[in-house]
Amino acid sequence: MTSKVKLLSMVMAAMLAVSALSACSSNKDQNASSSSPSASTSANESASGTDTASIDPLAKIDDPITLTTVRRTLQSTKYKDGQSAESNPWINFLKDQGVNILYNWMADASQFENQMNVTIASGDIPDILPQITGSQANTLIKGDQLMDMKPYLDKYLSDEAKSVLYGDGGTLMNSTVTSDGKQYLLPLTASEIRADIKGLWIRKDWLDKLHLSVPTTAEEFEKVAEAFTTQDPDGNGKPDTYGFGLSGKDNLILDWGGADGVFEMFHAQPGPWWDNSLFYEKDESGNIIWSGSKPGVKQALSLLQTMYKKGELAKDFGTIDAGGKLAQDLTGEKVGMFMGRWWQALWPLPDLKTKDPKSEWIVVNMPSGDGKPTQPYGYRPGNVYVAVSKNMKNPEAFVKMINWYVEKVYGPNADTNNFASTDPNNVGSWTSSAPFVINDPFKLSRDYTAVSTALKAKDPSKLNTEQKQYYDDVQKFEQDPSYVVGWSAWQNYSGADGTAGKHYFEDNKESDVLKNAFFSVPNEKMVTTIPMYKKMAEEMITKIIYGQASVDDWDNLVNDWNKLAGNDILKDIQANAK
Amino acid sequence: MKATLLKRELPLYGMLIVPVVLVFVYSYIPMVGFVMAFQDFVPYRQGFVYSLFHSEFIGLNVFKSLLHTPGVTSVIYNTFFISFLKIVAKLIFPLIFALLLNEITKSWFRKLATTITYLPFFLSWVVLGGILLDFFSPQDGAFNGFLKIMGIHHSTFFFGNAAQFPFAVVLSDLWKEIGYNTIIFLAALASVDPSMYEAAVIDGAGKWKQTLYLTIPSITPMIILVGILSLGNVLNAGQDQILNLYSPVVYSSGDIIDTFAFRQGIQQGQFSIATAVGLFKSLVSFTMISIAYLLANKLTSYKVF
Repeated sequence: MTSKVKLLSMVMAAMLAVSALSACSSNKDQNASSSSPSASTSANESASGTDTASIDPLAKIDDPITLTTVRRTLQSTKYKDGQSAESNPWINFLKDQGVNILYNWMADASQFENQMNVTIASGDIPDILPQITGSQANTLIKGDQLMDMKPYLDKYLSDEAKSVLYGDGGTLMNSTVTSDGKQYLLPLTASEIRADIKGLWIRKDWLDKLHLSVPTTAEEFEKVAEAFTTQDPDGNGKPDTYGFGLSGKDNLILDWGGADGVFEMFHAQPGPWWDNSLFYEKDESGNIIWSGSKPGVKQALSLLQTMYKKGELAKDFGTIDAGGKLAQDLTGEKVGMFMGRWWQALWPLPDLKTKDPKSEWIVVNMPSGDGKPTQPYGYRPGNVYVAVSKNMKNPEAFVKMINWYVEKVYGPNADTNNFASTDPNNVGSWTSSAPFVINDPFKLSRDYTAVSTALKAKDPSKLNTEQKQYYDDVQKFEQDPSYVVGWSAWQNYSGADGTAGKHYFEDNKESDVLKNAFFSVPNEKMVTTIPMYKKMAEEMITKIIYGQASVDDWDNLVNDWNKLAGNDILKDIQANAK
Repeated sequence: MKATLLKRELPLYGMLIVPVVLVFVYSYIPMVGFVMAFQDFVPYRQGFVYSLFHSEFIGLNVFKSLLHTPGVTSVIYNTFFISFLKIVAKLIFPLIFALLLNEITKSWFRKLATTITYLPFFLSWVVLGGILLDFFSPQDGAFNGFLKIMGIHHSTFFFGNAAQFPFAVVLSDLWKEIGYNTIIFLAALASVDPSMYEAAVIDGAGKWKQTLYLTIPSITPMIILVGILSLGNVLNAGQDQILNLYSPVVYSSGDIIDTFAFRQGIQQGQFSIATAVGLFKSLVSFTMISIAYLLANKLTSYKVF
């Protein structure tokens, strides 16, 4: 039934298995590290010695090299016959270019982060780290394990790749440059800030049925929630609906399905972001303050408390998880409003549309709680990074991989059939089959603008293959409202009033977003303490909404947090801003 | 004489080498890693062993900072409280259940009952967590629906109430795992010599006296064994279960060492903290097992070794 072995923590066991392995391989490591100084100096020499004009950023590598990396897999991924993660158009293309990709291990998405932690602890990291979190990044940088990619990017990045990576004027890429000018982390998978903001999603068909208008103030918002709860908006004769969906188990103050938007109604934001940063903004006198200490938090809490008392939130919202129960309630016609991201029409709402074709959603800005117009709060995009091991002998090959990727996926000679397919039966040609993925940060808004403009002009001639697909889907949906894939495309790309795409990528300009005053990679102090804050804050907010604590107890929490680390972190940020 | 003994036992020692080596490699060598609990462990690119010897030694600082983490005292208290209740409940109820089943003469019913009670044991907490939360949901759960039909309109939610949460955890765990210990006790009961019952009947003992003076004393060693083994688990209050059932509102009474370490150590990749918690748990478990063993030896002169 048990043994002492079981009492050792899981991590220990795993790490020690690795220690045995690393003991065997330590000779190899020493060889590698003894040879790497010469290799990296030679790389530096060649980088500084040769004339810039003679570098062809897309040239093949004549002497084939092997790069190790790891892979995050999805259980649902099924490759075509003869293809696999190790053999597909992407991997074969790289092989032709002189880069052999070797996966040290592959792990399912649910296990990937833990597996990566074990790999990091072992000190034997692969050449390319396709996805690391902020806390992993801090550990790796502390252990001097990552390569400063700045010189190589400056030297080898193609113009085309530059225009994709630095398309926003460099805000995103430069947000991971350290204060001494080194760049260990590349936010290649991040999207523009508008992709991370939240909007208020409302059941349009319910609004119409109950003859309500879109709420613009907190009072109207509460009235709509009440009507959705008490007036049987789905018309089944049962009191089984509630006004506002909230997932208290995981996303209470984070991401979609949370209460973040309710705080934004009152111009405050106490929630953390996925990378373990908090939201900081300037007050009237220009000082940087933590948004969670603003009085608006308490106003929002008292609104939520009232709504809970009146049954407008699920009675068990505290145990509702966003990906599970809230999604179920949304597709089960129980929820009238929630705070959502731009992709909600891709998931989970299509299931609802399939079940009930009459269901319709409208996306609007947060109503205002204090008379002043609201603006979406935006954290620094990108909470995972691509990074390169300091032991890697050919960092320029990594930059070339970026160049090739951009050429094949985004360039004028893009080969979307082979490298950026969206065909569910051709996984090997998806971008995700590449060793690491580069997101064009502005792809979403560009696709939106292109498709919506083309639809208005009825001229799809300028669209690329993917955009044309959305164009066709929207048109097909307008003919046949039961075509759910087309409904998702219509919500995201049609540009019709009240649709998701229009809200996130047209009505909101990038300049409308209130950007976090702290706009860089969270340091170790944040990474270790903000998870504690998240727990404390979730507990306190849930208790306040349940009515088990009073709204004023929020002040105690702010004090506790400030004592724990809040003050220190704020001081650091204020000092850096000067 | 000695030579023949050695000759006879030599192959046995040979066979013993494999398990000894395995235990040494997987249980003893890993203990070197405990040093991480006293270090600010940094994984360097020269490899794990290098990192182990080159990370800064910071003494008990990891433990000190752990103790200063808000809520850590309630975390330790919750762990002991929940697991103590679990140990007692999982000893007493299966015992009573096994004694009752043992008195049933129809073997098909006994088999059916053990099978049914044993079934939930095979379900994972990920599945059961969702089912339980749905079943007891005050919004649309079956349990509160049933209460309503019975005329009770005050809906209740065991998993969303800090005062009730630990008991809900213990009871749901008991429901899931009762079959396991029941089967162990049933096996022990089956091995009681039937002729002793015949003798007891002749001496005029009824069912109750038989149970009290014959059945229970006969299986006492097994009860103690199960008790000792579960004491070794005193700090395992059920990570899987609580991770799937808890929510922010019950953190104060439901957060245990494992879930705490999971959030701090594993999700955040803080190796020193994860190791420190592991070491702490091992030490406490070792102490508890030793005490339980000494007690068992003293009270019933029962010995494992």
